Amino acid sequence: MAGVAVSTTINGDTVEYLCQPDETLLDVLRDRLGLTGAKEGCGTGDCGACSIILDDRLVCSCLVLGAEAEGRHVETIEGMAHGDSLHPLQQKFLEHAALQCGICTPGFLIAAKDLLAKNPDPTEEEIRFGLAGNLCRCTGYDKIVRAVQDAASVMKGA
Amino acid sequence: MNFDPRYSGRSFTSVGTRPIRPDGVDKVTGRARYGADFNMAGQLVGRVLRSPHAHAKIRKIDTSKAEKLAGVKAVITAADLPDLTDGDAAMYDILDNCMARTKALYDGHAVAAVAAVDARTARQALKLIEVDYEVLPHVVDVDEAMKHTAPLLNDAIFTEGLEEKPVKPSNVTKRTQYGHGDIHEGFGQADFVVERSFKTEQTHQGYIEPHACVASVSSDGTADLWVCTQGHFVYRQHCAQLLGMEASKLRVTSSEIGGGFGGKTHVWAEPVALALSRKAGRPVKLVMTRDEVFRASGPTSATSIDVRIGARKDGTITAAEATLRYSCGPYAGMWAEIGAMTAFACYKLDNVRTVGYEVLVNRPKTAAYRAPSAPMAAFAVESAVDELAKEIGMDPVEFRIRNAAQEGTRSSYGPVYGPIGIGPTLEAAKNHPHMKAPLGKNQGRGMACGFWFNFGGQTCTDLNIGMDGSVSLAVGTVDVGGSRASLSLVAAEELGIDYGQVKAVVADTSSLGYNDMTDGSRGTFSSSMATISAARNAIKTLRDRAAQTWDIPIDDVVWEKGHAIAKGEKYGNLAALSLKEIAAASGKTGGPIAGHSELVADGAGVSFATHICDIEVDPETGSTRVLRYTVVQDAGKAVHPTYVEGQYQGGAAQGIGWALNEEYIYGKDGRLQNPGFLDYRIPVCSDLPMIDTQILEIPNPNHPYGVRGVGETSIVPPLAAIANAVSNAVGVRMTHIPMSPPRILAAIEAER
Amino acid sequence: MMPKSAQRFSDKHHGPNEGLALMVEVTLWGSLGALAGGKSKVEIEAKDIRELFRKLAEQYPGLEPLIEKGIAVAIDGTIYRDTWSKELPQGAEIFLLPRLAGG
Ligand code: FES
Ligand code: FES
Repeated sequence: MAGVAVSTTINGDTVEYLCQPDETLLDVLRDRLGLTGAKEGCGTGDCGACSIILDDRLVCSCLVLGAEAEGRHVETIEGMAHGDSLHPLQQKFLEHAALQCGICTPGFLIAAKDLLAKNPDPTEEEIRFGLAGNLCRCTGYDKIVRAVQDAASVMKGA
Repeated sequence: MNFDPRYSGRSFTSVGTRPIRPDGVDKVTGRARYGADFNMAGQLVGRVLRSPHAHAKIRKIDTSKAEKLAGVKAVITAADLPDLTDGDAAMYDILDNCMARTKALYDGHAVAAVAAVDARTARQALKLIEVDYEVLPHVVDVDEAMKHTAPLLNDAIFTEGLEEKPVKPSNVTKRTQYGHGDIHEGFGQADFVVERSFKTEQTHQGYIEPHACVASVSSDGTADLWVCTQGHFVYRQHCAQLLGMEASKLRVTSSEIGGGFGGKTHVWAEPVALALSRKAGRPVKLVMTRDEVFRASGPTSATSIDVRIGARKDGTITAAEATLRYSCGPYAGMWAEIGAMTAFACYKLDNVRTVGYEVLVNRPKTAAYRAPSAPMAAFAVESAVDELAKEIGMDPVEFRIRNAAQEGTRSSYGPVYGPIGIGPTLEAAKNHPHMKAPLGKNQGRGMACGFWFNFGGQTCTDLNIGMDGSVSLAVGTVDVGGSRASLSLVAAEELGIDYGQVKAVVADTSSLGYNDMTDGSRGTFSSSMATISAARNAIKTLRDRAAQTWDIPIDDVVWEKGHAIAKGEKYGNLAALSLKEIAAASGKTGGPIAGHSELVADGAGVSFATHICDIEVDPETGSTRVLRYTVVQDAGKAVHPTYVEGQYQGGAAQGIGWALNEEYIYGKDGRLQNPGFLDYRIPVCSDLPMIDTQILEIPNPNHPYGVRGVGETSIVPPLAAIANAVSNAVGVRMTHIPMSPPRILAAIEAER
Repeated sequence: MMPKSAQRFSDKHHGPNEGLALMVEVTLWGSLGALAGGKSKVEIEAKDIRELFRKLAEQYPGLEPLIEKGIAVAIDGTIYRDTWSKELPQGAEIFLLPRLAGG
């Protein structure tokens, strides 16, 4: 099959790649570009481990084609910290031990960042529903919710 | 090395604090490498062809067309994995499960595999493999499978453990029995008897990371395996045995692991990946899809359990009995046996008997799932206990306290208990504000207890002190939930240095001696024991180096707060030497400083928990909401309390999913109908409330710090606690897990 | 230095424990008893787990395959799975259990 040439922006950098027309953006990120921070937990849009932000929209990258990224802005977990200073969400996830195995963590961080961008002062319920597209099997979500609450209050103060 | 593992009652500086884990930054930045995040140059993509039939004879497999497809580098079937198990039945089952030999025994059973240049080619190749099946009748239900008329999975199986040797083969591989006293006499003394039958459906561990590995076999017989596993040393042994390799030539590196819960204690795809790589002469990456994870890995047993408990008016249990039938998938297991051992472990019983039946069914091979077999047994027993308390007219907590096991009690599985925490967790639950909080309409409160053994096992740890005084700790137990942080705390505690000076890593199989896997809640218990022992060995060397520097006898040097100190007035002029100073001079005092430890960390303390929960049921739809949840559990000593809380919360959440939603649903054709997270629904964030935790610390006498395993017990009580809460909310005893809305509605209707 | 694996299996713990072997009463769990001729308790003269297993296998050959596969020994309630050098204290309660799987 002929490849599709794509030019896109990933974490602020211009990136060009060739991909198959039926290849997912998740596969492109992981297998072609070496950005393995987004994880494949299901490949069917059910777990959120592959969450990325595409032009200000939270999406499952396993449900987006690589070719669809043409001309758009992609944000992945690899772009979340600035140099060696962590995003407040990353910092709070560490402090609250909001991760055990950590496989769901990149997806949660991206989803939480998107949530706080749209709703800087969410209630517990809004956080719970806002993150309901991301599965975590280890934590029972308690510490994740607390980390997001704490990060929200830090970010408001900033 | 004379290591004394006894609890010393010391006070702590580092242990019990809550620092950030050493692998944390990598995990929040996406840098941490899990099973599928690793690649080798020239690697191929491996894919597995799976049986669409629940039970079928494999007459013939024709791989010729697939082999001819451009880009296909290897196709394998069972013929490429010859039987080298030499009469080891358990290993043979593992082999047969990795690749079906003569029969496909469940929907999803592997029958062939390919390695190709890319995923698309591999998928195409699978379609070109022709398998000639003779479909056989199947059975997936545990009770059905026990009937004489049921299709037989294996006609060479005759039930073990029966008084009379059976003359006919059966799907029941084994009968086991536990208990003591005389239950007939015990029931004779009872004023009240409750007798009930219960069922639980099969669930999956549900780790978010699918099984993944990269295998590379060289023509000289050496091999590398990168894999997500709970035990890379065990994987090495199993793979080496199944492939006829020397263990030392197979280096297994454990990746970061994205959840296991028991499901990553078995090899599934790894021997297949190695066999593909051997045949293709190139590295092969094999990653399961979610569909494959559900159909062919995990799951836990489906069960059917009868319970009978009798008590006197005063609330003393006089006799208890249970018959437990557990599905094992197509291969013999000991799942019902563990259920039979754990069922009544919380109670002090003079007369108790449990009988377990291991049952073969056409479902995937049952794997351990967090305190395997205990949650289902606890569901049945704790439901009956609640009902009995109600009949007697006693508060369910009081009733349990009255009958709780204590130090000196003969456990229902045999041995007499040492110091244990069931009583204290019940007292703590009784006094918890949660117990007194008001309930609204359609709401019910339930509580239940749980028990798990906890394991120790073979453990090996290296502690190396760098010339700059920093300490690297190499452990061989895979870190499934923060154990590197806990073990760094332990090393810091023992050496008397800062947590930040210690860096713990999980070493590969070529860098460290054998370690059992991280199962049975043993990771922190065992490796902390080995870490303490290794640190003590290093301290001996540190003291020796200081003694040399000072030119005094080593016996005059003590180790305190990270420093060597010359003790006695005659040494008043010798300033203490820090670990850093001794390390800096090590080149001149005898070379590198390290401490090693190889031990069997036996004596893991048993653990108990009590859970309380409030549930609201919508009587119109049967849907449920968890309003409040509290976990009380004994940790022995919480090394890193935040991660202990995390284990409590995670286990409770898994139990909630099991109790209310999760189940394998098979069609009439014996095929799994919900192999995905959409239809196999695990709890999401909006399904749950905060989960309160209370850590009790009743020291384990067999660990220097008093540590007990903490990982598993938390999944034992939830099924029962929630069933009791739902039963209280709707006024009908719930006897079938999961309590999905249709089941709750049906139970309410049946009562009307 | 001995390789680690050799060290692990060496009998180095035996030295100080050398002493008179004592008669101990061993309780067998239900299914195990059947293989020992239907007995639920047996008396064995043994000073540690290793000797206990050796003598059990001698006296009750039916138990040997199970011992090979792995049996755990509970001594006064504490379960030992692998420490064959563990001494059997006088008067201790000794209980044989199957070796379990965990998650
Ligand atoms: S991998 Fe995309 S949602 Fe699960
Ligand atoms: S931390 Fe393991 S899945 Fe979330």
